Amino acid sequence: MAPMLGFAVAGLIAVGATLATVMLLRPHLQRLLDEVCGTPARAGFWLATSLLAIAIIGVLAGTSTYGYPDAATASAQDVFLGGVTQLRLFLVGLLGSVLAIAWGLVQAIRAFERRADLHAYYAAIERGAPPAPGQRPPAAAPPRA
Amino acid sequence: MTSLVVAGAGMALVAAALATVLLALRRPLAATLIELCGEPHRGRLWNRVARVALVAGTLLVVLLGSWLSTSLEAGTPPLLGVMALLRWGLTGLLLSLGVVSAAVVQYTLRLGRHTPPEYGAGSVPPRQVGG
Repeated sequence: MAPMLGFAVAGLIAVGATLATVMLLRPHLQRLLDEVCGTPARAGFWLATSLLAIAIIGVLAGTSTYGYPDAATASAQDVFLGGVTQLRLFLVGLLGSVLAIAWGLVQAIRAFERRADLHAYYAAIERGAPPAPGQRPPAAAPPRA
Repeated sequence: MTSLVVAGAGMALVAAALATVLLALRRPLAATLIELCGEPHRGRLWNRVARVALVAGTLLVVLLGSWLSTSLEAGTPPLLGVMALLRWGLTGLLLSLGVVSAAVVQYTLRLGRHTPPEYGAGSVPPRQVGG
């Protein structure tokens, strides 16, 4: 079994898994970003950017050639282990990109909740019920219907 | 001849990846920049600038990468040469996308500091007047 064939098979598996991940995440990410970003334009931009980043990093990690032996001395087992190494690196890259997007989402959700707290805090002041000095802003408002 | 074929195939794949990214970002980037800039003509200008930066950054990284690596040398298998060019192109795309995203984040934060949040932008519903 030639190393190039093993590389091509593992690369195709990586590309397929990357596309499946992107399609799996897309509707849920879109709903969350619509809520957190506030405007459809920003949500659309960050949706496209996030999915493109996951896809690019997945393909980059899934086409690594590290671990393949020299073609002249390669046995079938060596090629198989090279393919396993390629898929392992792909999974590391895919997981890293998904976790990085999740970290960004957590930051955005925190900012969203801070904005909601601040707005409710000043709304309470306008209603004539000023909070006591040193009192923290009230809890976050419920999400929009 | 083989190096020329490898370079052509690699650049064709890079161009396909670049076209996919530009197509996916076309409407969202334009809408975001028009919203952040406030005026459509300013948004269109920065949209063009961002797209030129994406293309130029990607091509620059591909050319630098092919210069630094052995992807176009005679002993390299053709598939590996093509994949090396594609990987440099994807690296450039990722870096350029990161720069454009960082610029959008900066302008979004700047806009958030200067304008009060509106309903829907992480705020509570507006109060009923006289209610």
